[in-house]
Amino acid sequence: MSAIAIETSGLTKKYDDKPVLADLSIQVHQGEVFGLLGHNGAGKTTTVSILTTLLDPSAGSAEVNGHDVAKDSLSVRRSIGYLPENVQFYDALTLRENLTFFARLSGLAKPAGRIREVLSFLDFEGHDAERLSTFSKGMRQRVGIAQAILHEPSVLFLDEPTSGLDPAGVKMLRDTIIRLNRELGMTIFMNTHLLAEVTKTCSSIGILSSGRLIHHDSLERTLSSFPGQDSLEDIYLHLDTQAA
Amino acid sequence: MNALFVVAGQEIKSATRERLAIALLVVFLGMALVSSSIGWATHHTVMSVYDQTVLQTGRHIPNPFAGASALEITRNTIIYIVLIGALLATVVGVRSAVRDRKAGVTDLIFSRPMGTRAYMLGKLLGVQAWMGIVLVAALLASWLSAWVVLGAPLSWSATASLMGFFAVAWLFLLPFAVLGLVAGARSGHESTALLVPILIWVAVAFVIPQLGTAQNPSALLNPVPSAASTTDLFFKVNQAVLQPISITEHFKHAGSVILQLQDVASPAIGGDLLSLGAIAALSVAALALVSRASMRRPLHE
Repeated sequence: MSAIAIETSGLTKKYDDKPVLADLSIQVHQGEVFGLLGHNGAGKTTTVSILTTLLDPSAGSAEVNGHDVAKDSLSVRRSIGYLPENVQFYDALTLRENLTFFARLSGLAKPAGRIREVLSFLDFEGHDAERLSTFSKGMRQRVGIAQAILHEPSVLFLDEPTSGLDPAGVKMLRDTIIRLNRELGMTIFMNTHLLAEVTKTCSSIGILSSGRLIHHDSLERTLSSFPGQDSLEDIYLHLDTQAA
Repeated sequence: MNALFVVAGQEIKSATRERLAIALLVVFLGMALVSSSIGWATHHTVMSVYDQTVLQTGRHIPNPFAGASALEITRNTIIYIVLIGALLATVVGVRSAVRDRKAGVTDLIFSRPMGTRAYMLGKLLGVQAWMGIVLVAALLASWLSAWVVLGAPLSWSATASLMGFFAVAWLFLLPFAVLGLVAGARSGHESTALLVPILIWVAVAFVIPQLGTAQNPSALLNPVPSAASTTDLFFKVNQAVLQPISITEHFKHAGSVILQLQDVASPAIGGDLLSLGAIAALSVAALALVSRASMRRPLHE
Protein backbone atom coordinates (compact mmCIF):
# COMPACT_ATOMS: atom_id res chain seq x y z
CA MET A 1 0.00 0.00 0.00
CA SER A 2 1.34 3.44 -0.95
CA ALA A 3 1.84 6.27 1.52
CA ILE A 4 -1.07 8.35 2.73
CA ALA A 5 -1.58 11.64 0.88
CA ILE A 6 -4.69 12.86 2.70
CA GLU A 7 -5.89 11.86 6.13
CA THR A 8 -8.65 13.30 8.26
CA SER A 9 -9.60 12.32 11.77
CA GLY A 10 -12.86 13.36 13.40
CA LEU A 11 -13.00 16.39 11.12
CA THR A 12 -15.94 18.58 12.06
CA LYS A 13 -17.19 21.95 10.92
CA LYS A 14 -20.01 23.83 12.58
CA TYR A 15 -21.70 27.09 11.71
CA ASP A 16 -23.50 28.62 14.70
CA ASP A 17 -23.31 25.25 16.47
CA LYS A 18 -24.98 23.56 13.49
CA PRO A 19 -22.69 20.86 12.11
CA VAL A 20 -22.27 20.81 8.34
CA LEU A 21 -19.52 18.22 8.57
CA ALA A 22 -19.38 15.75 11.43
CA ASP A 23 -16.58 13.45 12.52
CA LEU A 24 -15.13 12.80 9.06
CA SER A 25 -12.30 10.26 9.08
CA ILE A 26 -10.85 9.21 5.74
CA GLN A 27 -7.56 8.21 4.18
CA VAL A 28 -6.56 8.76 0.57
CA HIS A 29 -3.36 7.12 -0.60
CA GLN A 30 -0.83 8.59 -2.98
CA GLY A 31 -1.71 7.99 -6.62
CA GLU A 32 -5.41 7.47 -5.93
CA VAL A 33 -8.28 9.26 -7.62
CA PHE A 34 -10.74 9.70 -4.78
CA GLY A 35 -14.33 10.73 -5.42
CA LEU A 36 -16.32 12.33 -2.60
CA LEU A 37 -19.99 11.88 -3.40
CA GLY A 38 -23.06 13.41 -1.87
CA HIS A 39 -26.12 15.46 -2.62
CA ASN A 40 -26.07 19.25 -2.54
CA GLY A 41 -25.32 20.49 0.96
CA ALA A 42 -23.87 17.14 2.09
CA GLY A 43 -20.59 18.79 3.15
CA LYS A 44 -18.39 18.05 0.11
CA THR A 45 -17.27 21.64 -0.55
CA THR A 46 -16.77 22.22 3.19
CA THR A 47 -14.44 19.19 3.25
CA VAL A 48 -12.41 20.44 0.30
CA SER A 49 -12.32 23.96 1.74
CA ILE A 50 -10.83 22.63 4.97
CA LEU A 51 -8.34 20.40 3.16
CA THR A 52 -7.21 23.31 0.97
CA THR A 53 -6.84 25.44 4.15
CA LEU A 54 -9.51 27.92 3.08
CA LEU A 55 -11.63 27.06 6.11
CA ASP A 56 -10.58 26.22 9.64
CA PRO A 57 -12.13 23.08 11.12
CA SER A 58 -14.22 23.36 14.29
CA ALA A 59 -12.82 20.08 15.59
CA GLY A 60 -10.71 17.13 14.50
CA SER A 61 -7.62 17.21 12.35
CA ALA A 62 -6.54 16.79 8.76
CA GLU A 63 -3.20 16.29 7.08
CA VAL A 64 -2.25 16.68 3.44
CA ASN A 65 1.11 15.27 2.41
CA GLY A 66 1.95 14.98 6.10
CA HIS A 67 1.25 18.67 6.85
CA ASP A 68 -1.47 19.65 9.29
CA VAL A 69 -4.01 21.90 7.53
CA ALA A 70 -4.53 24.09 10.60
CA LYS A 71 -0.97 24.30 11.96
CA ASP A 72 1.09 24.22 8.77
CA SER A 73 -1.24 25.67 6.17
CA LEU A 74 1.50 27.24 4.03
CA SER A 75 3.23 23.85 3.55
CA VAL A 76 -0.13 22.33 2.61
CA ARG A 77 -0.76 25.06 0.04
CA ARG A 78 2.70 24.59 -1.48
CA SER A 79 1.94 20.94 -2.21
CA ILE A 80 -1.62 21.16 -3.54
CA GLY A 81 -3.47 22.39 -6.58
CA TYR A 82 -7.09 23.49 -6.33
CA LEU A 83 -9.86 23.94 -8.84
CA PRO A 84 -12.93 25.50 -7.17
CA GLU A 85 -16.46 24.99 -8.44
CA ASN A 86 -17.31 27.61 -11.09
CA VAL A 87 -13.74 28.83 -11.25
CA GLN A 88 -13.34 32.52 -12.06
CA PHE A 89 -10.41 34.60 -13.25
CA TYR A 90 -9.48 38.19 -14.01
CA ASP A 91 -11.55 38.61 -17.16
CA ALA A 92 -9.78 41.80 -18.20
CA LEU A 93 -6.43 39.99 -18.31
CA THR A 94 -5.20 37.52 -20.90
CA LEU A 95 -4.71 33.81 -20.34
CA ARG A 96 -0.94 34.29 -20.08
CA GLU A 97 -1.30 37.14 -17.58
CA ASN A 98 -3.71 35.16 -15.42
CA LEU A 99 -1.51 32.07 -15.38
CA THR A 100 1.63 34.12 -14.76
CA PHE A 101 0.01 35.70 -11.72
CA PHE A 102 -1.06 32.40 -10.17
CA ALA A 103 2.26 30.75 -11.03
CA ARG A 104 4.18 33.54 -9.30
CA LEU A 105 1.92 33.33 -6.28
CA SER A 106 2.85 29.66 -6.14
CA GLY A 107 6.52 30.58 -6.06
CA LEU A 108 7.56 30.18 -9.71
CA ALA A 109 9.91 33.08 -10.42
CA LYS A 110 10.03 32.67 -14.22
CA PRO A 111 6.91 30.78 -15.16
CA ALA A 112 6.82 31.35 -18.95
CA GLY A 113 8.35 27.96 -19.82
CA ARG A 114 6.20 26.08 -17.35
CA ILE A 115 3.05 27.80 -18.65
CA ARG A 116 3.90 26.70 -22.21
CA GLU A 117 4.49 23.16 -20.94
CA VAL A 118 1.18 23.00 -19.08
CA LEU A 119 -0.83 24.47 -21.95
CA SER A 120 0.79 21.95 -24.28
CA PHE A 121 -0.07 19.10 -21.86
CA LEU A 122 -3.68 20.29 -21.83
CA ASP A 123 -3.66 20.71 -25.62
CA PHE A 124 -4.64 24.32 -25.11
CA GLU A 125 -2.05 26.29 -27.02
CA GLY A 126 -2.72 29.38 -29.11
CA HIS A 127 -4.92 31.24 -26.65
CA ASP A 128 -2.18 32.94 -24.59
CA ALA A 129 -2.95 36.48 -25.68
CA GLU A 130 -6.74 36.19 -25.47
CA ARG A 131 -8.65 37.82 -22.62
CA LEU A 132 -10.59 35.40 -20.47
CA SER A 133 -13.80 37.37 -20.96
CA THR A 134 -14.00 35.69 -24.39
CA PHE A 135 -13.61 32.11 -23.05
CA SER A 136 -16.38 29.51 -22.88
CA LYS A 137 -17.13 27.54 -19.71
CA GLY A 138 -15.17 24.55 -21.02
CA MET A 139 -12.16 26.74 -21.85
CA ARG A 140 -12.27 28.33 -18.40
CA GLN A 141 -12.31 24.91 -16.80
CA ARG A 142 -9.15 24.04 -18.72
CA VAL A 143 -7.55 27.26 -17.52
CA GLY A 144 -8.66 26.23 -14.05
CA ILE A 145 -6.83 22.92 -14.39
CA ALA A 146 -3.79 24.75 -15.83
CA GLN A 147 -3.52 27.15 -12.87
CA ALA A 148 -3.93 24.24 -10.47
CA ILE A 149 -1.03 22.19 -11.85
CA LEU A 150 1.45 24.95 -12.76
CA HIS A 151 3.56 24.39 -9.66
CA GLU A 152 3.49 20.59 -10.08
CA PRO A 153 1.51 19.77 -6.93
CA SER A 154 1.36 16.18 -5.76
CA VAL A 155 -2.29 16.45 -4.70
CA LEU A 156 -5.02 18.04 -6.74
CA PHE A 157 -8.42 19.05 -5.31
CA LEU A 158 -11.28 19.40 -7.78
CA ASP A 159 -14.63 20.72 -6.59
CA GLU A 160 -17.42 19.66 -8.96
CA PRO A 161 -15.06 19.91 -11.95
CA THR A 162 -17.67 18.92 -14.53
CA SER A 163 -20.36 21.26 -13.24
CA GLY A 164 -22.00 23.17 -16.08
CA LEU A 165 -19.95 21.56 -18.86
CA ASP A 166 -21.40 20.17 -22.08
CA PRO A 167 -20.78 16.48 -22.92
CA ALA A 168 -17.63 17.29 -24.92
CA GLY A 169 -16.32 19.39 -22.03
CA VAL A 170 -17.09 16.60 -19.56
CA LYS A 171 -15.19 14.08 -21.68
CA MET A 172 -12.24 16.42 -22.10
CA LEU A 173 -12.05 17.01 -18.37
CA ARG A 174 -12.42 13.32 -17.55
CA ASP A 175 -9.57 12.45 -19.94
CA THR A 176 -7.45 15.20 -18.40
CA ILE A 177 -8.04 13.91 -14.87
CA ILE A 178 -7.06 10.39 -15.92
CA ARG A 179 -3.88 11.69 -17.63
CA LEU A 180 -2.93 13.82 -14.63
CA ASN A 181 -3.20 10.74 -12.46
CA ARG A 182 -1.56 8.23 -14.78
CA GLU A 183 1.08 10.34 -16.51
CA LEU A 184 2.00 12.78 -13.74
CA GLY A 185 1.18 10.54 -10.77
CA MET A 186 -1.00 13.12 -9.06
CA THR A 187 -3.29 12.15 -6.22
CA ILE A 188 -6.71 13.53 -7.04
CA PHE A 189 -9.48 14.36 -4.59
CA MET A 190 -12.67 15.12 -6.49
CA ASN A 191 -16.06 16.30 -5.26
CA THR A 192 -18.91 15.38 -7.49
CA HIS A 193 -22.45 14.19 -7.67
CA LEU A 194 -22.11 12.91 -11.23
CA LEU A 195 -21.87 9.18 -10.55
CA ALA A 196 -21.16 8.25 -14.16
CA GLU A 197 -17.95 10.27 -13.98
CA VAL A 198 -16.92 8.60 -10.76
CA THR A 199 -17.10 5.12 -12.24
CA LYS A 200 -14.90 6.23 -15.14
CA THR A 201 -12.24 8.07 -13.18
CA CYS A 202 -12.11 7.18 -9.48
CA SER A 203 -10.28 4.35 -7.77
CA SER A 204 -11.91 4.92 -4.39
CA ILE A 205 -14.96 6.75 -3.14
CA GLY A 206 -16.52 8.24 -0.04
CA ILE A 207 -20.19 9.07 0.34
CA LEU A 208 -21.35 11.94 2.51
CA SER A 209 -24.90 12.35 3.70
CA SER A 210 -25.89 15.38 5.76
CA GLY A 211 -22.29 15.95 6.79
CA ARG A 212 -21.60 12.35 7.81
CA LEU A 213 -19.47 9.81 5.98
CA ILE A 214 -21.69 6.82 5.31
CA HIS A 215 -19.37 4.85 3.05
CA HIS A 216 -15.65 4.76 2.23
CA ASP A 217 -14.00 2.07 0.13
CA SER A 218 -12.38 1.33 -3.21
CA LEU A 219 -14.70 1.63 -6.18
CA GLU A 220 -14.12 -1.99 -7.09
CA ARG A 221 -15.06 -3.30 -3.65
CA THR A 222 -18.01 -0.94 -3.46
CA LEU A 223 -19.44 -2.24 -6.72
CA SER A 224 -19.01 -5.86 -5.64
CA SER A 225 -20.24 -5.42 -2.07
CA PHE A 226 -23.86 -4.70 -2.92
CA PRO A 227 -25.02 -7.65 -5.00
CA GLY A 228 -28.62 -6.49 -5.15
CA GLN A 229 -27.65 -3.14 -6.70
CA ASP A 230 -26.81 -2.90 -10.40
CA SER A 231 -24.89 0.36 -10.51
CA LEU A 232 -23.11 2.91 -8.40
CA GLU A 233 -26.19 5.08 -8.68
CA ASP A 234 -28.32 2.34 -7.10
CA ILE A 235 -25.72 1.79 -4.36
CA TYR A 236 -25.53 5.51 -3.65
CA LEU A 237 -29.31 5.87 -3.41
CA HIS A 238 -29.56 2.75 -1.25
CA LEU A 239 -26.92 4.03 1.20
CA ASP A 240 -28.30 7.54 1.24
CA THR A 241 -31.83 6.31 1.96
CA GLN A 242 -30.51 4.07 4.75
CA ALA A 243 -28.61 6.98 6.29
CA ALA A 244 -31.65 9.24 6.13
CA MET B 1 9.39 36.61 -6.23
CA ASN B 2 7.84 37.49 -2.91
CA ALA B 3 4.06 37.04 -2.97
CA LEU B 4 3.65 40.58 -1.65
CA PHE B 5 5.30 42.04 -4.74
CA VAL B 6 3.40 39.65 -7.02
CA VAL B 7 0.11 40.97 -5.62
CA ALA B 8 1.34 44.57 -5.90
CA GLY B 9 2.34 44.02 -9.53
CA GLN B 10 -1.01 42.43 -10.30
CA GLU B 11 -2.73 45.38 -8.64
CA ILE B 12 -1.00 47.87 -10.90
CA LYS B 13 -1.64 45.74 -14.00
CA SER B 14 -5.34 45.38 -13.19
CA ALA B 15 -5.69 49.06 -12.30
CA THR B 16 -4.25 50.19 -15.62
CA ARG B 17 -6.98 48.22 -17.42
CA GLU B 18 -9.72 50.13 -15.62
CA ARG B 19 -11.23 53.50 -16.40
CA LEU B 20 -11.06 54.52 -12.75
CA ALA B 21 -7.26 54.55 -12.81
CA ILE B 22 -7.15 56.73 -15.90
CA ALA B 23 -9.84 58.99 -14.43
CA LEU B 24 -7.74 59.34 -11.29
CA LEU B 25 -4.74 60.40 -13.35
CA VAL B 26 -6.81 62.93 -15.29
CA VAL B 27 -8.34 64.38 -12.10
CA PHE B 28 -4.95 64.82 -10.42
CA LEU B 29 -3.46 66.44 -13.51
CA GLY B 30 -6.53 68.68 -13.74
CA MET B 31 -6.16 69.57 -10.05
CA ALA B 32 -2.55 70.62 -10.56
CA LEU B 33 -3.39 72.73 -13.62
CA VAL B 34 -6.48 74.35 -12.05
CA SER B 35 -4.49 75.16 -8.92
CA SER B 36 -1.78 76.89 -10.98
CA SER B 37 -4.40 78.76 -13.03
CA ILE B 38 -6.18 80.00 -9.91
CA GLY B 39 -2.84 80.90 -8.37
CA TRP B 40 -1.89 82.87 -11.46
CA ALA B 41 -5.33 84.58 -11.63
CA THR B 42 -5.13 85.56 -7.95
CA HIS B 43 -1.62 86.89 -8.36
CA HIS B 44 -2.58 88.77 -11.53
CA THR B 45 -5.70 90.36 -9.96
CA VAL B 46 -3.97 91.43 -6.76
CA MET B 47 -1.02 92.86 -8.68
CA SER B 48 -3.38 94.80 -11.02
CA VAL B 49 -5.11 96.37 -8.02
CA TYR B 50 -1.70 97.04 -6.43
CA ASP B 51 -0.32 98.67 -9.59
CA GLN B 52 -3.43 100.85 -10.03
CA THR B 53 -3.36 101.87 -6.36
CA VAL B 54 0.31 102.84 -6.56
CA LEU B 55 -0.36 104.72 -9.83
CA GLN B 56 -3.39 106.59 -8.52
CA THR B 57 -2.09 107.43 -5.05
CA GLY B 58 1.52 107.95 -6.04
CA ARG B 59 2.51 106.57 -2.66
CA HIS B 60 4.83 103.68 -1.96
CA ILE B 61 2.82 100.73 -0.75
CA PRO B 62 4.50 97.43 0.15
CA ASN B 63 4.10 94.86 -2.66
CA PRO B 64 1.81 92.13 -1.27
CA PHE B 65 3.87 89.48 -3.02
CA ALA B 66 7.24 90.80 -2.00
CA GLY B 67 9.25 87.85 -0.73
CA ALA B 68 6.49 85.43 -1.63
CA SER B 69 7.46 81.95 -2.76
CA ALA B 70 7.14 81.07 -6.44
CA LEU B 71 5.13 78.12 -5.19
CA GLU B 72 2.35 80.43 -4.00
CA ILE B 73 0.57 79.67 -7.26
CA THR B 74 0.24 76.01 -6.26
CA ARG B 75 -1.29 76.71 -2.85
CA ASN B 76 -4.74 75.40 -3.83
CA THR B 77 -3.25 71.99 -4.57
CA ILE B 78 -3.13 71.45 -0.80
CA ILE B 79 -6.87 71.69 -0.38
CA TYR B 80 -7.52 69.70 -3.58
CA ILE B 81 -5.48 66.85 -2.21
CA VAL B 82 -7.30 67.03 1.13
CA LEU B 83 -10.72 66.97 -0.48
CA ILE B 84 -10.48 65.28 -3.87
CA GLY B 85 -7.26 63.30 -3.43
CA ALA B 86 -8.33 61.69 -0.16
CA LEU B 87 -11.71 60.76 -1.60
CA LEU B 88 -10.11 59.24 -4.70
CA ALA B 89 -7.57 57.29 -2.63
CA THR B 90 -10.48 55.85 -0.64
CA VAL B 91 -12.37 54.88 -3.79
CA VAL B 92 -9.25 53.30 -5.32
CA GLY B 93 -8.72 51.32 -2.11
CA VAL B 94 -12.30 50.05 -2.13
CA ARG B 95 -12.06 49.17 -5.79
CA SER B 96 -8.83 47.27 -5.22
CA ALA B 97 -10.26 45.08 -2.44
CA VAL B 98 -13.56 44.54 -4.20
CA ARG B 99 -11.96 43.63 -7.54
CA ASP B 100 -10.78 40.17 -6.47
CA ARG B 101 -14.00 39.43 -4.62
CA LYS B 102 -16.12 40.43 -7.60
CA ALA B 103 -13.90 38.48 -9.97
CA GLY B 104 -14.36 35.43 -7.72
CA VAL B 105 -10.63 34.69 -7.51
CA THR B 106 -10.17 34.91 -3.73
CA ASP B 107 -10.33 31.14 -3.24
CA LEU B 108 -7.69 30.63 -5.93
CA ILE B 109 -5.48 33.27 -4.32
CA PHE B 110 -5.85 31.99 -0.77
CA SER B 111 -5.14 28.41 -1.83
CA ARG B 112 -1.63 29.69 -2.66
CA PRO B 113 1.21 29.75 -0.12
CA MET B 114 0.59 33.30 1.01
CA GLY B 115 -0.90 34.78 4.18
CA THR B 116 -3.79 37.24 4.31
CA ARG B 117 -1.51 39.99 5.65
CA ALA B 118 0.95 39.59 2.79
CA TYR B 119 -1.97 39.77 0.38
CA MET B 120 -3.36 42.96 1.92
CA LEU B 121 0.08 44.54 2.17
CA GLY B 122 0.64 43.68 -1.50
CA LYS B 123 -2.65 45.33 -2.36
CA LEU B 124 -1.68 48.45 -0.42
CA LEU B 125 1.74 48.50 -2.04
CA GLY B 126 0.10 48.32 -5.47
CA VAL B 127 -2.43 51.05 -4.67
CA GLN B 128 0.25 53.31 -3.22
CA ALA B 129 2.53 52.65 -6.19
CA TRP B 130 -0.28 53.75 -8.46
CA MET B 131 -0.99 56.79 -6.26
CA GLY B 132 2.74 57.53 -6.47
CA ILE B 133 2.64 57.47 -10.27
CA VAL B 134 -0.37 59.79 -10.25
CA LEU B 135 1.29 62.20 -7.81
CA VAL B 136 4.50 62.26 -9.85
CA ALA B 137 2.40 63.16 -12.90
CA ALA B 138 0.70 65.92 -10.88
CA LEU B 139 4.13 67.11 -9.71
CA LEU B 140 5.33 67.38 -13.31
CA ALA B 141 2.13 69.18 -14.31
CA SER B 142 2.55 71.64 -11.42
CA TRP B 143 6.21 72.24 -12.27
CA LEU B 144 5.47 72.80 -15.96
CA SER B 145 2.47 75.05 -15.32
CA ALA B 146 4.56 77.10 -12.85
CA TRP B 147 7.17 77.52 -15.58
CA VAL B 148 4.49 78.71 -18.04
CA VAL B 149 2.83 81.07 -15.54
CA LEU B 150 6.02 82.53 -14.06
CA GLY B 151 7.88 82.64 -17.36
CA ALA B 152 10.89 80.83 -15.91
CA PRO B 153 11.54 77.35 -14.54
CA LEU B 154 11.32 76.86 -10.79
CA SER B 155 14.60 77.04 -8.90
CA TRP B 156 16.22 73.85 -7.59
CA SER B 157 15.12 74.78 -4.10
CA ALA B 158 11.50 75.38 -5.14
CA THR B 159 11.53 72.14 -7.15
CA ALA B 160 12.78 70.25 -4.11
CA SER B 161 10.02 71.83 -2.01
CA LEU B 162 7.41 70.79 -4.57
CA MET B 163 8.78 67.24 -4.52
CA GLY B 164 8.72 67.24 -0.72
CA PHE B 165 5.13 68.41 -0.75
CA PHE B 166 4.00 65.60 -3.06
CA ALA B 167 5.93 63.08 -0.96
CA VAL B 168 4.00 64.23 2.12
CA ALA B 169 0.80 64.07 0.05
CA TRP B 170 1.60 60.41 -0.72
CA LEU B 171 1.94 59.73 3.01
CA PHE B 172 -1.26 61.65 3.75
CA LEU B 173 -3.25 59.62 1.21
CA LEU B 174 -2.06 56.25 2.53
CA PRO B 175 -4.55 56.00 5.44
CA PHE B 176 -7.40 56.78 3.06
CA ALA B 177 -6.28 54.00 0.70
CA VAL B 178 -6.14 51.64 3.69
CA LEU B 179 -9.60 52.78 4.78
CA GLY B 180 -10.93 51.84 1.34
CA LEU B 181 -9.08 48.52 1.30
CA VAL B 182 -10.35 47.45 4.71
CA ALA B 183 -13.93 48.49 3.93
CA GLY B 184 -13.82 46.73 0.54
CA ALA B 185 -12.40 43.57 2.10
CA ARG B 186 -14.79 43.38 5.05
CA SER B 187 -18.08 44.57 3.66
CA GLY B 188 -20.79 42.19 2.52
CA HIS B 189 -22.20 44.70 0.04
CA GLU B 190 -20.42 46.72 -2.61
CA SER B 191 -22.52 49.78 -1.83
CA THR B 192 -21.67 49.79 1.88
CA ALA B 193 -18.04 49.08 1.02
CA LEU B 194 -18.04 52.49 -0.64
CA LEU B 195 -20.47 54.33 1.61
CA VAL B 196 -18.83 53.59 4.97
CA PRO B 197 -15.35 54.90 4.07
CA ILE B 198 -16.90 57.96 2.42
CA LEU B 199 -18.73 58.74 5.67
CA ILE B 200 -15.45 58.34 7.54
CA TRP B 201 -13.74 60.60 4.97
CA VAL B 202 -16.42 63.25 5.59
CA ALA B 203 -15.79 63.00 9.33
CA VAL B 204 -12.01 63.18 8.94
CA ALA B 205 -11.99 65.92 6.33
CA PHE B 206 -14.79 68.10 7.71
CA VAL B 207 -16.15 67.18 11.14
CA ILE B 208 -12.93 66.67 13.10
CA PRO B 209 -11.26 69.88 11.81
CA GLN B 210 -14.52 71.75 12.42
CA LEU B 211 -14.66 70.55 16.01
CA GLY B 212 -11.04 71.33 16.59
CA THR B 213 -11.13 74.79 15.08
CA ALA B 214 -14.75 75.66 15.70
CA GLN B 215 -13.96 79.23 16.57
CA ASN B 216 -12.27 79.69 13.26
CA PRO B 217 -14.39 77.67 10.83
CA SER B 218 -12.92 79.37 7.79
CA ALA B 219 -9.76 77.39 8.54
CA LEU B 220 -11.61 74.31 7.35
CA LEU B 221 -11.07 75.08 3.69
CA ASN B 222 -8.07 77.26 4.16
CA PRO B 223 -4.80 75.82 2.95
CA VAL B 224 -3.08 77.59 5.83
CA PRO B 225 -4.95 76.63 8.96
CA SER B 226 -4.41 78.40 12.17
CA ALA B 227 -5.65 76.80 15.32
CA ALA B 228 -8.37 78.70 17.09
CA SER B 229 -6.98 80.79 19.85
CA THR B 230 -9.33 80.36 22.73
CA THR B 231 -9.54 80.40 26.45
CA ASP B 232 -12.77 78.42 26.49
CA LEU B 233 -12.28 75.05 28.18
CA PHE B 234 -14.54 73.21 25.74
CA PHE B 235 -12.48 74.23 22.74
CA LYS B 236 -9.23 73.68 24.61
CA VAL B 237 -10.24 70.09 25.40
CA ASN B 238 -11.48 69.63 21.84
CA GLN B 239 -8.20 70.81 20.43
CA ALA B 240 -6.14 68.71 22.82
CA VAL B 241 -8.06 65.57 21.93
CA LEU B 242 -8.54 66.12 18.22
CA GLN B 243 -5.32 67.88 17.29
CA PRO B 244 -3.16 64.72 17.14
CA ILE B 245 -5.63 62.89 14.91
CA SER B 246 -6.58 65.84 12.71
CA ILE B 247 -4.76 64.38 9.75
CA THR B 248 -6.06 66.99 7.31
CA GLU B 249 -4.92 69.83 9.57
CA HIS B 250 -1.45 68.33 9.86
CA PHE B 251 -1.23 67.93 6.10
CA LYS B 252 -2.49 71.46 5.42
CA HIS B 253 0.04 72.95 7.81
CA ALA B 254 2.97 70.80 6.69
CA GLY B 255 2.09 71.44 3.02
CA SER B 256 1.89 75.18 3.59
CA VAL B 257 5.29 75.26 5.26
CA ILE B 258 6.92 73.05 2.63
CA LEU B 259 5.51 75.18 -0.20
CA GLN B 260 6.81 78.25 1.67
CA LEU B 261 3.42 79.92 1.64
CA GLN B 262 2.84 83.25 3.35
CA ASP B 263 0.78 83.60 6.55
CA VAL B 264 1.88 80.30 8.06
CA ALA B 265 1.43 80.39 11.82
CA SER B 266 4.43 78.23 12.72
CA PRO B 267 7.29 77.03 10.52
CA ALA B 268 7.80 73.82 12.52
CA ILE B 269 6.46 70.72 10.79
CA GLY B 270 8.12 67.97 12.84
CA GLY B 271 4.96 67.35 14.84
CA ASP B 272 2.84 67.29 11.68
CA LEU B 273 5.09 64.77 9.96
CA LEU B 274 5.24 62.67 13.11
CA SER B 275 1.44 62.61 13.34
CA LEU B 276 1.07 61.82 9.63
CA GLY B 277 3.66 59.04 9.92
CA ALA B 278 2.07 57.60 13.06
CA ILE B 279 -1.40 57.61 11.51
CA ALA B 280 -0.02 55.99 8.35
CA ALA B 281 1.71 53.29 10.43
CA LEU B 282 -1.46 52.68 12.45
CA SER B 283 -3.46 52.36 9.25
CA VAL B 284 -1.05 49.77 7.87
CA ALA B 285 -1.50 47.85 11.13
CA ALA B 286 -5.28 48.11 10.61
CA LEU B 287 -4.91 45.83 7.58
CA ALA B 288 -4.76 43.03 10.13
CA LEU B 289 -8.52 43.59 10.62
CA VAL B 290 -9.03 41.82 7.30
CA SER B 291 -9.46 38.08 7.54
CA ARG B 292 -9.51 35.39 4.90
CA ALA B 293 -13.08 34.59 5.94
CA SER B 294 -14.28 38.14 5.27
CA MET B 295 -12.59 38.21 1.86
CA ARG B 296 -14.22 34.88 0.93
CA ARG B 297 -17.71 36.09 1.81
CA PRO B 298 -20.00 36.67 -1.16
CA LEU B 299 -20.14 40.31 -2.21
CA HIS B 300 -23.62 41.60 -3.00
CA GLU B 301 -24.38 44.64 -5.13
